[in-house]
Amino acid sequence: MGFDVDAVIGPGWVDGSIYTDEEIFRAELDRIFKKTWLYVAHESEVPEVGDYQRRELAGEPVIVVRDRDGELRVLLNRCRHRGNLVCQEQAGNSQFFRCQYHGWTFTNRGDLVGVPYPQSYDESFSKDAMGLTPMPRMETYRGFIFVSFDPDVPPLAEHLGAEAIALIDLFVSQSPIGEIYVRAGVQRVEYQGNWKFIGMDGYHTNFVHRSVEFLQHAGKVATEGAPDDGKPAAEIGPLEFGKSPDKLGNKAWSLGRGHVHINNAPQRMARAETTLAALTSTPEGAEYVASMQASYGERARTLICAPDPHLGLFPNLQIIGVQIRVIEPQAANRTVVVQYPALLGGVPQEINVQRLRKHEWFFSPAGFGSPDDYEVFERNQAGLAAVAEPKVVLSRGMGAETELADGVVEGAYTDEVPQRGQLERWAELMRATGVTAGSTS
Amino acid sequence: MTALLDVQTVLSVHEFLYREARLADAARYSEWLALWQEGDITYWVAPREDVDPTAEVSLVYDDRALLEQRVARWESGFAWSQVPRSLTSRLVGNIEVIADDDDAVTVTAAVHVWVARRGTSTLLAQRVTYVLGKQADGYVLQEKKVVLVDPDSPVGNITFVL
Repeated sequence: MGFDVDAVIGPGWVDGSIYTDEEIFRAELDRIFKKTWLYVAHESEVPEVGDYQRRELAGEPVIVVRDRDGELRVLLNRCRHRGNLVCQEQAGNSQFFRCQYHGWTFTNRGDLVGVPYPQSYDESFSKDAMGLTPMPRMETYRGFIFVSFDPDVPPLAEHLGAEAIALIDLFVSQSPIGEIYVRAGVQRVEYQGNWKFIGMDGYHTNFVHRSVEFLQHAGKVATEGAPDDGKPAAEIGPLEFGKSPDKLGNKAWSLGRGHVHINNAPQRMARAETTLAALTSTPEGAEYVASMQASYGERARTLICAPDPHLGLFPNLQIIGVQIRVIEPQAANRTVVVQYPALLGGVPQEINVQRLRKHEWFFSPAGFGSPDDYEVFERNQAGLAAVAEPKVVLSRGMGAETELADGVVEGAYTDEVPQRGQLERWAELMRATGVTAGSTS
Repeated sequence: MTALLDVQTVLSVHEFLYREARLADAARYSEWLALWQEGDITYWVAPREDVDPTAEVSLVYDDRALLEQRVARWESGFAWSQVPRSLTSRLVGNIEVIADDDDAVTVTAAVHVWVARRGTSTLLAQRVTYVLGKQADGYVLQEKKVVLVDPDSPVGNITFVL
């Protein structure tokens, strides 16, 4: 296609068209979503032989299945005959996927085993070559299943990097046995805005989430980051309207390869005593704290009090609070977000119930936080229709970053370090050649 | 239903549900809150009819304190997802009183909420179960359980009264 990447992105700015242009959107699917690792599901969603989950990757229907040998497979949900869906249900358990159009039947390993009236095909037809198409690459890390349409992507560990791996470990280590279970239901939300608005932004908190700050000052919920007032901490940002949250010591990170992270541990650890006291005031909480200490020793305090990885893995995964959040871009101006709360293995049920309620409070489509984010994204999309001054400014904190090890860049909490990190990766992938001719031009 | 309901019960149940719908559509949040009884309540928007809220995430699972937070947030003027507010018009139909006990009636209904926001309108179809406590001066909401008829499709802005 004809657009010039360097005409739409520069130091500290991007052109609004990267959020609104349908041609750019289609190029993103080809050059980003088809060219890097995508998160698809968690192994705990398909625990038994035959379990499957349907998913969408870059608009394509796929099946995640634990096959008859117990192996994980990610297969395109497309009959090799005329392209019909072979799996209709969102989730289930099956040994076979049978196309209901002409009866072609595939095992859950993807092998084509049944073609009605086969004598009418000539000798060049081979069932062996006509199995369901597997994703060219699949790797897992701690149960998180990643796949790629591109057989030549570097290994997953290289793509994730040490910091992101440590943050996935942090998320899983909220469980004293190091197990999470992604089978507590799902929430699907749609907003009329570009997928790249979902980033990692410390600057918006006091403004977009003003209603939460209002509830805090009305005495209805505790203020995180405020002097320890003995109230248990809610799962919310450092909200004190009119005061810069940078003073709380939280940091915004770019991890490289488009991955980003908000480190809100300083704010959370400032209230560690209250968090622990609230937990240990109930028998279930005390049991949880004791089992965490038995498993992790000194480190348990951090794992209990500051467990939120607040990690964005470019381009389609976020791990925030208790949830795994998947971004499914639909069009330049339409995005679906799928939220999966994760439960902890080896903890009293009450601990997991609290996780569900905490998630609903802020992140539910009818909750007190995320809907205001989505509302602001829709307003952003509408505002970008004005193109007289097309630049979007992302220069906050530029030049004041600190380089940490391994290409990790740290800025103040409200700095636009994550935005720049994501968009630098966006530009790198969008510049790359090798797009199938004619696919987007 | 074991016995024939008297007309007065049916009419007063209908009137209560219509009032609840009217106050919700008008965003008269404090008056809507006042329909609920003092003390323990459950305002639950569930993903399915047969779901265990301790094992699976819900859209809303409010006790009294959370419901009060919800109303305070709406009334704050800072809940941007309701600035401007979603315009709703709901039809409450197929009302059936399925239990009539000494203290409460249990009622089910089909509710179609038409929602308009920024020039786009959608229809949100719900199955709703109400438990209405009997008080000297009429009914009060003890429980409201809303199940979306289509739980799998993505939802847009559903931050109004469900």
